[in-house]
Amino acid sequence: MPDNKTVLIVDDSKVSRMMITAIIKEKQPEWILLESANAAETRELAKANNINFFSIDLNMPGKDGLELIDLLQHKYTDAKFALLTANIQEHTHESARKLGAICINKPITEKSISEMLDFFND
Amino acid sequence: MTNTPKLTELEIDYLSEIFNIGVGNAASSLSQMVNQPIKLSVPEFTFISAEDLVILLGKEKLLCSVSQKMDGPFMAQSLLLFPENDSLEIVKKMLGDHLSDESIAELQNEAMSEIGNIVLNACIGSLSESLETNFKIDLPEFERSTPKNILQSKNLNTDDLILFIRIELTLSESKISGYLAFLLGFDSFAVLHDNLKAKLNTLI
Repeated sequence: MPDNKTVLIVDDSKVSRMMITAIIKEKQPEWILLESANAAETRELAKANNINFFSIDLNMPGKDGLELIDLLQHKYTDAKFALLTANIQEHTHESARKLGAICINKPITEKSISEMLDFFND
Repeated sequence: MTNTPKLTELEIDYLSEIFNIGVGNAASSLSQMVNQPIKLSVPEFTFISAEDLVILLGKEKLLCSVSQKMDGPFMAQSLLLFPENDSLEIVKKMLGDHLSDESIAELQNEAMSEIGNIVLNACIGSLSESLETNFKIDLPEFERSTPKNILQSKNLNTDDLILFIRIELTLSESKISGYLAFLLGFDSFAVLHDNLKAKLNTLI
């Protein structure tokens, strides 16, 4: 049965979005992938689409990833959130956990994105 | 981003992300050392001449510098710079508030070398991982001087480029500005550029 989930990839780095997109496309070719570079774009896209999964970078200009997840999870209660970060401080992990999000450690590799997809598919 | 030589927007984006990851990893280690969370700004990234960098950092300002030579597919000098007062603040947080200011000043050299080692190694590690290559990294050298003297001691050539990254580390109560600089010769820059292009070609 086709499983057309929609993922919104939020990262201020275009290269990072390209890398994440390439890996998800390979692993879940049937999924719809959307991209956004900041919090404002993310909110617009989330309003206009039925997003199942959010992949959100931590370190972005303006609102950071944790603030953005905090904002989105109240509105999109059925969605799952992954926070992508090279910042593996326990404090960051703890903050993400409190928001019900999983922390995925950068760099973006097949392994790290697979970990995120396992969480989404669980 | 005015003085950027020959790099496309995508190449700059990629290079920024590589250093973002390096600094993020370093912040995790530093956070454990100072025993508190560290918040990082998004690194600001530019290419700059030595002359302009001296002006930007303040001609007479006293800076603490930790530098490490890196040698692999290309050679570069990597530097971590902190204004003197910010450097003492970090060392204080790292070693504990129970030490006197004299003791902190005495230990500044060693503590900063350790911090430099962590931050620079994390950035060089991220660079080598992303470009799938290896660099030999020399031991850290500590220096306390003006920007002009620090850069002069690195024997820059006139056509050398400086990849300059400004980051802000916020510890629980204090905001500390640090700077990363990578000094690259013209040939080294060309090799870095080729590596970036090759890596991006696999994505496009």
